[in-house]
Amino acid sequence: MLELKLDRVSRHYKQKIAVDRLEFTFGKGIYGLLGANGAGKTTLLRMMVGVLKPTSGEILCDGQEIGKMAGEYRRKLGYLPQDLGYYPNFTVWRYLEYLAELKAVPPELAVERIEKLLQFTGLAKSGKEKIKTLSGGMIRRMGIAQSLLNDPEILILDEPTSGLDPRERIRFRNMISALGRDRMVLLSSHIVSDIEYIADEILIMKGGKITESGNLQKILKTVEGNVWECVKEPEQAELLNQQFTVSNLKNTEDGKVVLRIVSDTQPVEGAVRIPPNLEDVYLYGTREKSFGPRV
Amino acid sequence: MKEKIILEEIQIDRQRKQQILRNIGKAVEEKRYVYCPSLWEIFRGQLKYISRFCLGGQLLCLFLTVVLLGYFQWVEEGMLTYLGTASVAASGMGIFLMIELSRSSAIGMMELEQSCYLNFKQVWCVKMILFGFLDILLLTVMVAVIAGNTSCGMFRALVYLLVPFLLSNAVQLLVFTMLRGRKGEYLQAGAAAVCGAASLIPLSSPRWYTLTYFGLWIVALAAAILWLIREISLIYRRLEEGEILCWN
Repeated sequence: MLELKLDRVSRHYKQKIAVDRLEFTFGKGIYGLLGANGAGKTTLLRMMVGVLKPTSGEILCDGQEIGKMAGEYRRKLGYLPQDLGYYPNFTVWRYLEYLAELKAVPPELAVERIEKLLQFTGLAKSGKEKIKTLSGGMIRRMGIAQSLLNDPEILILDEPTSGLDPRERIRFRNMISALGRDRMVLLSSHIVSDIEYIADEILIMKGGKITESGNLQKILKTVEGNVWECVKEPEQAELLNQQFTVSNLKNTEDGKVVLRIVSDTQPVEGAVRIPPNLEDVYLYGTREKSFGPRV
Repeated sequence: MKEKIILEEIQIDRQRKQQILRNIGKAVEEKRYVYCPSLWEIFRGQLKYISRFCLGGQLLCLFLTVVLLGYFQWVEEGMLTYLGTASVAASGMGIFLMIELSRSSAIGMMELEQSCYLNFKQVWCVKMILFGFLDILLLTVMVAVIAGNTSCGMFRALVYLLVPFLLSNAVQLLVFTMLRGRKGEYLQAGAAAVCGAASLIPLSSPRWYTLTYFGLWIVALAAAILWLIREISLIYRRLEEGEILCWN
């Protein structure tokens, strides 16, 4: 059994509430966390990792408070922070070796595991290179490698695909899918398609709260009937773009514009309902208040 | 002979045997190998990763001070020369530990280290013990040499050196909690230089090192201890809360 339970977890920064009495239970599988900047994603992940202490509430791992479990909880963890820290003068190998020691990876297994992970992340030839000479994408991959050093039961990844090119992103998505079979993976991302492809369960955060959660089908159902499509002249399309939340806008060959609009009501005569996608749900879930014309 | 006959009579279900072996193999694979490094392994491991500049600097400081004190013995210098040099060394030697500690904060490693089995606070403790050991060694050498070569006794020499040492460490911790980023290291070096210069102030008049004023030194020592305790508890609280660990 592996269960991580948020029990009315809150975190305040002076007057600002970053995470507001969250309640959720995570089990094995891949969870995708979506939310705008400042929605509280990173704060939530930091609390789950034990870096930040909740202002109130508890985080329980298999029924035990994670703060009290201390090292025994951290032993289960793999974490990739949004801004990966590293010692620029360390080589990739030395960096991984250092973190393997901190993660209490048995010395007799550490070398083999580092080799495997360097292979896995495509950094096999860069082991002897100093980190300061690596590109952003390579550093991100090194971050992914370090998060897997201790073969963690709980893997928490904050914006793992930022800085990766499309090929690396796809490779990484496949990697996460494989890892999620027998552990708990929680990842936050701005890239909706990444979450859509790999997450078993999606959580949408806004204002420190989880506004929607469930699998893709369940999440999509929440906005069914609220996504519209219409074809308009460019001038009218521009007006609609200002009035409504347009999730996509595409020019056609005959000089017209196809608009995809998220709205509670029919935005314009002739607009037809279409099936929603996760981007629509994201826009709907992070809306200000009502989702009609923006005045 | 009898046993052999019995073994030969046992029927082995090969399929079932394979299944059981597979189950055992799977159970072994699933079993997590829990490794707890010993204290010695932790210290040895950390020693490998401490910056050579910091450890080398601390050792060089120790070496130079010993050489200098030896030279003073040779040329038979007076008490003020001993105390002045030792005070500057005492107030300056904390800088190497602080630079080492602030290394992880300057490049965002604290957050990552805090999520590991041996977390940031534990790594800090190990480094503080390692550098603290060198500090104590240097203080002991200096106190012994001063007591042996001047009219100043062991206890008085210890008090005279502990005041700049503790005050300088408190200032370093204050600077650490106030500032973050690359420039923090330079400011810390600057703070150490200021503390070193300030430790020379009592040399302006030899009477500060007479027994008449020793009571003032004791008060200063008590104040320095309280300040240092306050700074340590403040930084501990902030580390517990976690905000200081996060880069943004």
